[in-house]
Amino acid sequence: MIEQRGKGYEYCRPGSWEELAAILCKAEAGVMFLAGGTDLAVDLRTGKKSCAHLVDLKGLTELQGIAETAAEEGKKGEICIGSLTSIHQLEINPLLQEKAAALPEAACQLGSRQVRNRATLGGNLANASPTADTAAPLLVLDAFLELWSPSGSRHIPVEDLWQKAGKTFLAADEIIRQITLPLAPGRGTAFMKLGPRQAMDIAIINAAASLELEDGRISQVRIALGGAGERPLRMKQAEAFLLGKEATAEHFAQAGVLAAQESSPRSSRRASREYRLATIPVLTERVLLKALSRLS
Amino acid sequence: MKTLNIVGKSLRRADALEKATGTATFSTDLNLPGMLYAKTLRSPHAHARIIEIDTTEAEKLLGVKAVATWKNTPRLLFNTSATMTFTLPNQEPVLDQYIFDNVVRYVGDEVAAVAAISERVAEAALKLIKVEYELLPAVFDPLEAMEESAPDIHPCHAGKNIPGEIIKIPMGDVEKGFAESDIIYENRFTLPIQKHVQLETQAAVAQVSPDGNITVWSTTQTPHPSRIILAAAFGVSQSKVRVLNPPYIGGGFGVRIGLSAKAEPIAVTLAKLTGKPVKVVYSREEDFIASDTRHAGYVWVKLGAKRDGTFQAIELKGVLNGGAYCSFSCETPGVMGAMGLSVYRIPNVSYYGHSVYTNITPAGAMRGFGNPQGMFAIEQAVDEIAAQLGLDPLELRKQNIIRVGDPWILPYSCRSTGLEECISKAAEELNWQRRGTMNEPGSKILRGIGIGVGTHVSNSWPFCVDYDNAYITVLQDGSIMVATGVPEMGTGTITTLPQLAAETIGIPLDQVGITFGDTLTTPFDIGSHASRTLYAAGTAVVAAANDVRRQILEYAGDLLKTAPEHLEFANGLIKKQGLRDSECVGSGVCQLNEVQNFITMKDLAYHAHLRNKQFIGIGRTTPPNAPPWHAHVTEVEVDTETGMVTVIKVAAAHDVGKAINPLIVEGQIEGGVLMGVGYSISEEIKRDAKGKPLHTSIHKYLLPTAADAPEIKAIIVETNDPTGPFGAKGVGECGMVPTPAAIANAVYDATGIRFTELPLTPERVLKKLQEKNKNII
Repeated sequence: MIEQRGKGYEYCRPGSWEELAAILCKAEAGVMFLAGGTDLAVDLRTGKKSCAHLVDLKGLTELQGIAETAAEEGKKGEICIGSLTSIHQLEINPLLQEKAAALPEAACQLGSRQVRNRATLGGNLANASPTADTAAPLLVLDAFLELWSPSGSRHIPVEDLWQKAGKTFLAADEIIRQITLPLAPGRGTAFMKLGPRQAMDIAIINAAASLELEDGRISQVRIALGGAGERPLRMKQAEAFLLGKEATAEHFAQAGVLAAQESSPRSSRRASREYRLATIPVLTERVLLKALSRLS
Repeated sequence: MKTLNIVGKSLRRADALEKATGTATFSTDLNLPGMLYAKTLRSPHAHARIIEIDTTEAEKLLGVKAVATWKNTPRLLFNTSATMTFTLPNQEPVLDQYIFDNVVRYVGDEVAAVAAISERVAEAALKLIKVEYELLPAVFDPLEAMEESAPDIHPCHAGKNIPGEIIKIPMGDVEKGFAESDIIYENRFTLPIQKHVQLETQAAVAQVSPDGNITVWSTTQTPHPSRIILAAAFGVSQSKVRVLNPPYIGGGFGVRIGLSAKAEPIAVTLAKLTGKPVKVVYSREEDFIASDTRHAGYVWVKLGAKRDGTFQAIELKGVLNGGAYCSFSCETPGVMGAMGLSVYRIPNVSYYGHSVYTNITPAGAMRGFGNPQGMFAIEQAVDEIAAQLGLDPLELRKQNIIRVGDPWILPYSCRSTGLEECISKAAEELNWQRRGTMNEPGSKILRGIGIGVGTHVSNSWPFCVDYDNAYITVLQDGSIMVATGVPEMGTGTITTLPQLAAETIGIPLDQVGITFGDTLTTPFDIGSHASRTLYAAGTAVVAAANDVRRQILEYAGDLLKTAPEHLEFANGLIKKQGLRDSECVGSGVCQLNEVQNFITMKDLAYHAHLRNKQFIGIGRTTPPNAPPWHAHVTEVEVDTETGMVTVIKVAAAHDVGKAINPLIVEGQIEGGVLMGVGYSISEEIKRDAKGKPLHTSIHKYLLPTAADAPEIKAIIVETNDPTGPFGAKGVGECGMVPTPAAIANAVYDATGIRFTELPLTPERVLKKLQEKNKNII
């Protein structure tokens, strides 16, 4: 284990779960977990965030990697992603590209190449930005998370991770260990991001969708938006509206209007509430069309 | 015409290897023995008086060596910009800054600075300085700042909060011109604050010797004028001050014409207080909030034309937001007017413009210097006239542009123009004839093409003092040293000036060394700005090189018993006319003293050395100025459902007179275009209601990334201006000048909507599109 003192905090990098548990049991408060550090390292330096113990998770090498579990009788196949897998690894993974296209599509639009090499999926989720680029894809992929703390493990749907901007429901000594995507072979998924800059930009709105058709009608649909509220959100009224309907541009446009109705975006330096409300229907319609085009 | 061997070739940059391998040094890299680090306390208020400032706790902190405030630093007024060193007689330079004052006038204004053994200790000490402020009313908009009820930010004689003089440029009779016009277009345009975001932030290292000699390494674009400013600010003679670059600058774009914001005076004042070298490096946030920006403001244009398209009259008015201190706020509106009225042949013209003090970060020089703001308005007015008369905007421009010899408002003449060729070539590159046929009915994604043209300067004479000197010393092996006071800030100066010297004298480029950017080792030069370095400093280098060549040919004439005019001198070889190079073999002339038909430069220099002689050339020139010309044709895509504007391609055709190094010229054009794209689409600094800037980092301030760059086709047009070195004119700023107008005209072509305010953010564009749709319904 590596230990050293940083600016107002103790830094450590446990190399095993036992070491991590020991540190967390000893530390009383003020623990922060370091994954890629693309947000946290900046915030610690500027003083926007502070902590007593900075626990670097990069020593736990088993937290990295993407693997498929094939479908068995009575059990769907799934893709498991270690929480410290870099965004770049998501971007280039052929398995994800084939079976969960929305996620690599979002990954390749996050930050810049340098940021993507360093940033991790778990970090992006735990940072709890309402416009985290990987959040909306995971919502439409029905992802669930395996959480770990010294007192044990538990599983939650990704939707139950976030409270509001910058705040999760994770306990103080709890980390995301793994992200699991149940596979659905007949599904088309897509992601889109709206922002004035092609790199190093936080989305004004981002959107993901997943679609399945049966006999020409929508048998399964997920729509998720970032920037539409104080956390990444599923658009359940829009989904309910589409279920059982034909997959047409008109229906998608109507779903977009419903999505705007169930959104409550805020005004920020990047865009006003009004602009976000005006573009949510557009992005919703477009991402649904794109998901539809991905159905073979 | 003489064959050129070195000029006109895209030779490798002299700094390429150093910069590519990371070994080039910049101010930020400097470390001196015993050096201290400084950090600055900045005002949280837009306008306030300092009632009380208590530094005792800060001074007690371990590692703190000095705290500087308005109480213990010189009270000599200066201006951080070089304007105070070269404002012409009949106008007074505006001096409105102290190193620290007891009134702060914008959020970010300097309150105090600490020198300590590390940046961390200095930062900790800032938190221990106690300041009591009396808040004063603040104003942020230039029009509001001119109202009687607005607070007085500085004493002014030209009008409420108006620094310097109001610029008025009249020619002909505009009233009569408008009366004779069949059609008139008139509108107001609004421009945002743009920031340079040069790679290296403002920085300086100062050392003061025990007998008071001051040495400052810094990021200044103008070492010699900076010496003048520092001598004035510290009340010492100029001979006691040395300013130099170490030797590189990480970009400039106008942000340090003069001092690097206050990096130099803060470093010097703390070096004097501590007796140690002191380093000041602005954080990116400090660079954003406390170093000059582009002028935001308002431009009004009124353009009148006959039914056949002949322009009759133009009236241009500019009110620019100067911010809290003057900097270049007197000159910028002048250049806006002078350039804006010099593109078209219009018999009746009038300009009225000035800046206004407000409580925001000072505005100063930035690539284009007021010209892009003016052309944003003028070029859209020209397009409106074309639309209303049903004329092709291309043809309307060709019909009205200035030609060689035309009368204009500028005090020098137009001796060359390739603008018509620029317009044709840029239009051809983008298939201009597609215009108007690019969109299917009902399409939500619209394409459009637009044009913008313009001119600029090649140096700053006769708007301000502008002269150049250069020395060339021939060394004992025939290689040469050029000495010039201009810096290398990334624009290729130390490649292109040696190209001029080598070509003029007749020696290979690898025989040329250069010393630059240092007041100790170079003669006075006003520095790199106004697109002038190659044109103006180059003229001095060519003069010095001609002086050397003349001396060498005279010497060789004696040696070869031939009149100098019957000698040829190229590629390091001096020979009798008509002799082939292959006949010039062998050496030993120095020892043998025999009459020969040829002599190499190397042998000649050593021959002279053995006879107690060295050749030293001097160039002292006042460049007359020359107009570069440019036409940009731009294709854009507008997403009518989101308001996103994407610039697809920019064809940028530039009459640069003569491209001394075409690759460097293309780089300058492309950089200017991309800076213009950012200015048009996404860059702006906004403030909250109390004047605190909201865009203070590269992440928040949306300048384009490499992924956002459109395809840029730089097209070089050469007209060989008779006044420039080898015919060259300025280019550095020009890519910026017509870009916003060309983009706005393309957006108009796509949408039918005239946008009068930059940047074209998705929000602003969508709002107008929605309004238009409402009107149709």
